[in-house]
Amino acid sequence: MIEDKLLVSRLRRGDADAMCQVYQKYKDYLFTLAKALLGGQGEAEDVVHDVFVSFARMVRQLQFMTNLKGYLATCVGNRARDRIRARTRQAAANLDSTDPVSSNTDGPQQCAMVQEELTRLRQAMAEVPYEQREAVILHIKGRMKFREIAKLQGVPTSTSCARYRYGLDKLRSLLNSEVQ
Amino acid sequence: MRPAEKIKKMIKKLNDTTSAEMDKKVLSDALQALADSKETTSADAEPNKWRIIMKSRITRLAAAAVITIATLFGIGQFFGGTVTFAQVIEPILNARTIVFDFLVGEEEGPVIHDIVVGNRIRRTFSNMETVLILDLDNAKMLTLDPLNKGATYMDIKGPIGEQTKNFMEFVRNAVTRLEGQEVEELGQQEIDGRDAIGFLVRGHDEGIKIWADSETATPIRIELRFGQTRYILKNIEFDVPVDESLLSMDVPAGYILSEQEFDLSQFSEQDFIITLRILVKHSFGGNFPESLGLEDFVNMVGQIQAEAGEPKISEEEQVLLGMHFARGVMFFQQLGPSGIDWRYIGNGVKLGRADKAVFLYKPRDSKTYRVIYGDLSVKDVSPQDLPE
Repeated sequence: MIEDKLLVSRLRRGDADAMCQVYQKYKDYLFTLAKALLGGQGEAEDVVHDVFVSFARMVRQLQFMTNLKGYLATCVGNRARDRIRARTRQAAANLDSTDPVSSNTDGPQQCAMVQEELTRLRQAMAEVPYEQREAVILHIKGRMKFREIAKLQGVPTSTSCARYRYGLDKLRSLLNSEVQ
Repeated sequence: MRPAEKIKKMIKKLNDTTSAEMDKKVLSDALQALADSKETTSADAEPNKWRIIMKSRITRLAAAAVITIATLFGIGQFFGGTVTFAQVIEPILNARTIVFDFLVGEEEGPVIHDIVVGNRIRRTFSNMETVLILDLDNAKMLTLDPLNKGATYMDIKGPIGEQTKNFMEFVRNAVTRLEGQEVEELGQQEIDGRDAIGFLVRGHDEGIKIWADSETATPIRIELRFGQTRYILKNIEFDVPVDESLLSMDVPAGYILSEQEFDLSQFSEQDFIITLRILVKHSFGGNFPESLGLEDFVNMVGQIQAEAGEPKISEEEQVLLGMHFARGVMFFQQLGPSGIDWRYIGNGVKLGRADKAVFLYKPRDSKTYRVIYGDLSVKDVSPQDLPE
């Protein structure tokens, strides 16, 4: 946390090296969030790009920032929402054929199983209503608190909690056969 | 495992990595955006040249001294620790407006008063009338001489400009450098009439002590130590309303401006010798001072300003003297950071004595030392023959 405060402080003074450090520290985390929210690799890359460029442009004007990681995750959430809104139909998100994998690889066979499992998870997530998916991803993967998600979604905390539960139920239903 | 738990576990396993191509593109664009966010000028030419625009009536020597004081604190980065300590450093790292007093050495020394708003600083001194206004974004400095209504603009680009920093930046750098070090709580104490809680972080050859208001966690006094030199920041106020016109880079009405070039792109031993002569002659009555450290330069600025105004020194001489003086301080400043072995041994030596050494240093890659004597002559001396 203090490390982030120092990085932000340096960024406010235009320190390019601090920008590189922030990018290296959070790029994969944010990319994972974006991809989980949007499904498509290209869109996720665009969102992460836009978040970092916008952050770099605004950091000198940003007021008190308590949590850099949370701030960047919220930015990803906002931009992902914008893209979802821009889609004429939510329908199924664009799933890339070549999905990356989890880091937990114990062997080729295990790796293939994990890949397959995660592919099914992504497919299932694409079928979950966006607000619910957003609550699930941001809470579980983004480690954001429900009040933070509620703020991002512009709803009461109880609503974001409910969206999380509904989203998880939906995923459970979709993946029922896989996770029993 | 329950299905919901398994789903959570699967979601946690999601771990996508960005491609090298994406990293290159995003970083390139973000760094450009960061650079664009700065109010820059097209002044990248003349990278090592300072151009000083000086008014004839301003005391050039004092202005030169002021330049060096403005740049004296460009020393290179702090800690983990408690949430409380994190709260204490929060305003140090993030406040946009900071007002404070700065002292080098002892509590009784001259006070430098800074008003910092973003990357603009208004700096005044208790021992002279000169006002500095620094625009760090654009690497410019405006020097005002209220007594003579003289104004000076100068570029502060290049290495020297990089060292010209807000003193709070000095603290921030120390905080960064000491990151990971243990934070020692010093308990409560009354500081400047307020109940304060203290923290101490020690590094290899440096330390920082912060006293913060025990209720608001706002720092009220910061003490830094680098080697043997102590720096004190006190009467600190964060994010207080400031009349931003005080930090305007426009020359105030009634002040007169003219131009003269002033080159500080290089410095040499010869410049340092001139600095020593000015220092000893004008500030110490012909005897070399007890010590030669950063605080001595700070302490002598006011005296130099007074002395340099004497009629015997022509304006041209003042300009030259000022330039050499500033270069000489730069020469002295870079010795330690460059890893050069040096010693000041001139305590009490009368200016003109050829038999008494006052200063010695070993140039990089040299087998012998350069020894400066009281008459300001210089000799190469082998290590075994160095004076006591």
